[in-house]
Amino acid sequence: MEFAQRRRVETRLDAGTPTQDRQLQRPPNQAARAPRHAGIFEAVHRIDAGLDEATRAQLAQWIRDEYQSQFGDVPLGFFARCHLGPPYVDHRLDLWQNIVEHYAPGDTVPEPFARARMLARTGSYDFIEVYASGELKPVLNDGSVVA
Amino acid sequence: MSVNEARILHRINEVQSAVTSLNQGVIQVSGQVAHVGQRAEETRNDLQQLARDFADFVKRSERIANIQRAETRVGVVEAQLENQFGHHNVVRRFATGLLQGFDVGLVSEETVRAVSEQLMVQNPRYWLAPVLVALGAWASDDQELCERGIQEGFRRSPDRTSLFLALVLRRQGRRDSSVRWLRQYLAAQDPHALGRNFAVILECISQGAFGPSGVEIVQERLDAWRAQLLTDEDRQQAQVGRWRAEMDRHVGPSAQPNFPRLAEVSPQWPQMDAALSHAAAHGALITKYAALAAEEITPQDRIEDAVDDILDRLVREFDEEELPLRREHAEHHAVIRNGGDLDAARRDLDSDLIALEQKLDYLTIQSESALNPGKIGVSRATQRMAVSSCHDWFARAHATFCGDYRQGLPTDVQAVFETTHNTAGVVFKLPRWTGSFTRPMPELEADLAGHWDRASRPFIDGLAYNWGRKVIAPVVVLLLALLILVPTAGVAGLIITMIGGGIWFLVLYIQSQAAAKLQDAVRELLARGKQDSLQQLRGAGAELIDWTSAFRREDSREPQVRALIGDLATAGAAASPYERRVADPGAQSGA
Repeated sequence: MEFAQRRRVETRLDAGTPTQDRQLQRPPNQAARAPRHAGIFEAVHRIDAGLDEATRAQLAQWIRDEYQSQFGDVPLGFFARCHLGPPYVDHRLDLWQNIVEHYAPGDTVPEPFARARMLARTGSYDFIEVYASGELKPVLNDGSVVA
Repeated sequence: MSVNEARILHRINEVQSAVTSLNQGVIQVSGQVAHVGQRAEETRNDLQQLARDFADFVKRSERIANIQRAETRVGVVEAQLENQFGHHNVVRRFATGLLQGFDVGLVSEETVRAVSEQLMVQNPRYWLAPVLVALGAWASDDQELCERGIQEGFRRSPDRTSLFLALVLRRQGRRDSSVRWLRQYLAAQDPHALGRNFAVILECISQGAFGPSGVEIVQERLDAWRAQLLTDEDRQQAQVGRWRAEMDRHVGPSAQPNFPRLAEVSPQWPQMDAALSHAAAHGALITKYAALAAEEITPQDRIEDAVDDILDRLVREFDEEELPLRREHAEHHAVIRNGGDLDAARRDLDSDLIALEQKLDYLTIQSESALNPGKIGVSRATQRMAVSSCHDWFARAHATFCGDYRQGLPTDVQAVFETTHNTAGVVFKLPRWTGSFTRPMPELEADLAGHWDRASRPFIDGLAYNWGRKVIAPVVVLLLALLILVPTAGVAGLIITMIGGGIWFLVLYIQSQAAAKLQDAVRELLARGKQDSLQQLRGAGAELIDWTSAFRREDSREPQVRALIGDLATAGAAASPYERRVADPGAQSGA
């Protein structure tokens, strides 16, 4: 699988970004729709795995830089299904305030993350990018973005 | 006992019996009021039903009238078309006949020339007539006449004349001349505003009509146009919008008949119903497009037949001057097709009118060939090729379609019982109760039952017989009687007082029994009402489970649609007859 290979190759987050700015040469809308690469998946999954605050901040910074350079727009954060098990069903990763918050079904999720809740719960997407404008971009397991 | 006392006792008894009968009267009246309420409710339902039936009747008769009007107009328009442009059909038939006549050599040059010249005279302004004269002249080696005929045809319709000649020359095996005309045709085209007949070019590619060199030129040009148009985000978005409309056309009907109790109880039902019917679109899309992907499209045995079909399509295509009548024809047809529903006809007509529009951009022609092949006039093979070219928009439209209906799912499904949800609710003035299905069902049931008990307790307690208050008056009267009668009448006074007291207490006892009976009846009503509510709640809970599994089942087909779009992306091009033909040069013998 080409994607799996890419994923393995690009999981080394600090190994520089040879592909940087590659996407931005496209028109802005096309760049924003470009498939999310495996490095981003890895980072989004890691940020939730009980890291200490400093490492998490570093990782969030890396993700922000990556989005800025590759896709031209940085989300507020991500919303995804939670794998911690009951009572938690989903969680929010705020890239700017460096917050990871897990929610049970009855908990209230702050806007605009709340609107991504049902998308995450269907289990069809790996994670959902939540933008300050309120726009939601679900990302499928194969990296393609719904926009 | 004095006369006064006897009178007092008598009056008290009278009052007591009056109170008892009043009480019975109140019970009876409350029963009657409930009955009247029920009748009023029935009458209201009947009236609503009548109003609905009447509205349906009005709508139906309006639709019938619309259909009749449209049918009459279709007849009139067809007669007008026949009257004004019927002679074009003769030219069209002659064109195909002429080419086939050339093939088998059964027609003499004189006949061809005579008929074509006659048609030329009879069809002023029609492009095909001079072109046919040119063909007749070509057959009889009259170069001058041939050139003049072509020039006239080109003047009347440069597009069609170029394309027609490119195809005819290709059919006759003059590849170089054919490619020259093709180049001429393409050079004159603006990818932002192509004529309807451009779909014929797509048809030619899918049928392999131009041969390898022709296809190369066309493909190169088309790729360049596509790249040029795709840089414009708005145009791309417009195509995604077209495909989104295709997704919306496959949305299933409401599933309310399968989930009546959930629909009754849950305010989130409309969102849930919309999500389920949208998810059902996956199945419909799979059925439609899997058939297209799997279809074995057999090419025509001879290239001449394929070209003839395309020529047929080209010459059959109506002229610009026929357009207003054709448009009217399409409008009336849409009304008939939609059973007289003018709104549905208008929606349906939009896609018809796109096919009738004079100028479309290249991307729209691709989308329309994929979505409305019948209306734009392309074959199944071309449709598949077009779907393949449009796979990116198809995939994007499908992905956003899924995202949108999933986002519309309610985060919390609730059950709401209003005062009016059953008769007992109205009698007890049951306040509104809301419960979320995220809580376990036993807990919800206990909560609803508790709500009923809390709401009905004051009412039932109010009906209890108040012994404490009722007994004060007799006790006081009897004590007074004792104090007055025993010293004056002795034992007889005591007996009289006891008899009076006994009677009085008997009356009170009968009243208390009646009150207890009323209380029991009301308790029974409450129990029935509560049971009914609990059953509604349980039913809705069970239906929610069914709905969830139905939604998951439909929603889980989304990856299949994505895979199918991926298949279609590769299926269209690889299976085109053109590629089969280059693999076997012998099959091009007609060229």
